[in-house]
Amino acid sequence: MALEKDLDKMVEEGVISFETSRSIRNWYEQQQPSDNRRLTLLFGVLGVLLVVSGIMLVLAHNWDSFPLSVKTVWAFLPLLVGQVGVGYVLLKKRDQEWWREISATWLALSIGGCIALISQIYHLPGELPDFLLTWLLLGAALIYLLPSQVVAVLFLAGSVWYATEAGYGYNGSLYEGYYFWGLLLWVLPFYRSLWVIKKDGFFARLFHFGFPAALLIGLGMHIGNSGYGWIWIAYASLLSIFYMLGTFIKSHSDHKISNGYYYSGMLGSLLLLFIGSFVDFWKGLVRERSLLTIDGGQLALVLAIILSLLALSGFIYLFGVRKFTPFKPLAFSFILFAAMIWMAHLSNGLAVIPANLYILGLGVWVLVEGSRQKSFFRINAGLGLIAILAICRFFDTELSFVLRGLIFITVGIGFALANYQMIQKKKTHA
Amino acid sequence: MLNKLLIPGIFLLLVAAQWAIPLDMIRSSNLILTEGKSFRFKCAPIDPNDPFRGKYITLNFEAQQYLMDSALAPQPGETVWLRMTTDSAGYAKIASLTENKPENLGDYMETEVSTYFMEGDSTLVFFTFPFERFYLEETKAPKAEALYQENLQGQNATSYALIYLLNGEARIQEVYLDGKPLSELLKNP
Repeated sequence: MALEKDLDKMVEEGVISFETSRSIRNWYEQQQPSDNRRLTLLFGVLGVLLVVSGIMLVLAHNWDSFPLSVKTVWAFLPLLVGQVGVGYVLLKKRDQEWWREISATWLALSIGGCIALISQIYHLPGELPDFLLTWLLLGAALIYLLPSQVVAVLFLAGSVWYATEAGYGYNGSLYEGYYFWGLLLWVLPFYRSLWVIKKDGFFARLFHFGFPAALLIGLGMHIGNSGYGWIWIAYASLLSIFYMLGTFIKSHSDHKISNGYYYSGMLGSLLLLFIGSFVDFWKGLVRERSLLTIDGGQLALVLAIILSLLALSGFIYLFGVRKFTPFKPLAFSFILFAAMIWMAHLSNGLAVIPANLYILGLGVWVLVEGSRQKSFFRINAGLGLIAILAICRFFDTELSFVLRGLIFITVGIGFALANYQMIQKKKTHA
Repeated sequence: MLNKLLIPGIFLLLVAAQWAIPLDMIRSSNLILTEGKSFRFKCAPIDPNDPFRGKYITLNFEAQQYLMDSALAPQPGETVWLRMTTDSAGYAKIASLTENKPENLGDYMETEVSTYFMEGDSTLVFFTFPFERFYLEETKAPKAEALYQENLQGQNATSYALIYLLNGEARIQEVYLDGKPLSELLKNP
């Protein structure tokens, strides 16, 4: 308490900045044994999640024996408890992470519970996306007010849920998912401060994976009725941005963060390329919806242009300005994918050629690099890429059985030989 | 200084908003029920549930469709206003449809088009009514459905929902089976 008061006073009198006071608070928090702290917080949050959900379920029984007024009071009670709790923590225990997180989580959950119960008691209409949006907006300020990392993570998860309900499927035609981007923008400064202050903390790591996932899911809301090609270009560009950002983060070994950008960028780009290696994919795409029309796909076109330019700037910055080594071939897959879309626009069988050649080349490149670095993992990753490509081609009926058989035999022998050679090399070195 | 005033200030605003939204939901609902005009909508209840709001019965209404000229038919998802009237038996029916918000909302009800079917020169338009759910105590929703099924066996059996309309908004007050309120029937089955 004394520390909290002193810090507030120092900020007031301009001795230190607010940012510094937060860093000092964080430093004191970090001094406690971290495993214990994390565990007590984890169990505390789990406890709150279970208790509040439990209370809501009991109330959702909709006790007929109680009059309307009593049911209404019960619906507001958990909210009131949460508000009193948060108020108390703000006044008295603001420097204690555990209390901040627990009280904020309770209040955040009870907001949703209260609205849901009132809707039930008074038979109010309303769709799930509206309910989720109201809930998120009424809880949004808690992230910064306390501040609370758990509420920030719940907010991110809730926003993604909102995007899937509002922007996709049946409701997609009725509701616009644009609020989702506003929600993401709201939580972005908090993510930035997590990155700056506790970049390898548990919650920061959740964000390093959750945030790219949220962007990928959000982008899918803007698939128009036509001009499918644009959204594929937008996806390829976004994945390349993730991959380059992840590569950059990874090269700074002092940033010991779980790298969600790297993994989602790498796996996502590969997935797109493998999908693009099927001739049926392009046939379907061209047949069903005109690939590069603008009418009906304007938003997707704008997104494709913005994301491609961003990816291109990133590419030039990383490999041109900063001269990043080693070169990462996967980083320019967005250019390749855009070219493939253009080729498919001309003739749908054409696009599979660069896709197949590229994946094959990438496989060989990873294999050679692995062999140079004497890395079992890389050698097998390279061979794995080639093997998956071979399996994909197995399903293309246009290749003859003999050719497909020969490809499989070659890849199989490759696996055995490469690994045998590596074992021998390791033995001689040992 | 900023911190000292700002944080409690924002918190108090937040608390106020967290109370204002649900309280306003209750207020507007009560207003419709006390000052709105009542209509009896013929319906058929079935029993699903909602992960957040518990058990309810879904109501399917006879008046949920309207036959209109194909050239004028609105698209699914579009908001339209229905002017309600009553048939000779005293049940609600749609008198007319307009795509522009009427100035005098009188007996109009705001609703959304769910789907439509072309029938020659006409189009049969279906709507999503804003009162398709009637929440019940958990154990009673399946009983209500069973009661309705039994009720169907009887001659001239009717079930209807009592709906109040005010300024284009609608609220459900009670569901009646054979003229008796469902909540009372469930108390003494």
